Amino acid sequence: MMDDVQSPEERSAGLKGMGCSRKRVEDVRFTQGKGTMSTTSS
Amino acid sequence: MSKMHVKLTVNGAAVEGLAEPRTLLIHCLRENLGVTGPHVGCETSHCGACTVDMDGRSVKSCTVFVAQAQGADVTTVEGLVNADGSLSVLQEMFREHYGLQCGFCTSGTITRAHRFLQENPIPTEEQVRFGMAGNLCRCTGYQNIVKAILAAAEMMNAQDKPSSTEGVGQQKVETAE
Repeated sequence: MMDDVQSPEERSAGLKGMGCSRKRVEDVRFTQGKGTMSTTSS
Repeated sequence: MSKMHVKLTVNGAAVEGLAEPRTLLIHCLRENLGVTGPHVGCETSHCGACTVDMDGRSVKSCTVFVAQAQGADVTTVEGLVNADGSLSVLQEMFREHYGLQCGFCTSGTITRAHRFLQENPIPTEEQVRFGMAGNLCRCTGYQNIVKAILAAAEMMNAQDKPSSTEGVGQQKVETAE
């Protein structure tokens, strides 16, 4: 688990600088009806 | 108002209970049955966020009384996953082609797209746009929604061919060399 923690330098290098285009990662819960909206009380 | 005894099938499970006849199907699904995949958007049958499949037809459950759904077979987005819990081809294509943004319209959009592809397995882009016209996306992500549906149609048709034995999950597996 601790291996997943990046140092600030590693994270900064991974971001590749301000303005770098990045592909977003979709939250698949929305495709399964599992997204929790503010109107979802249960 | 007196309540009526309602029996219907939701995502393959038989459910029954008491509800006022004027209760809308969307409210029955979300509040009585806890099926919160379909969303309440406009409540005027415009946005399509509440789309569910009822007896093989797409309906906007905000304009269907639960009394009208008596004995019906209702499928929501929760019922579209594969039996093993993995994403269906359509859901996978929505993920892969960025067919969702905020995700609010997604459950209705996928449910409608599922029925649309049953009705028209080999659609053109124009037919997809026409067939999905009742589902609005306030993020305006229509381009990717159309791409996702066309990709799903292509993949489903490829899977239906006898020579093809690979499923979506199998295609994504990469063997180490």
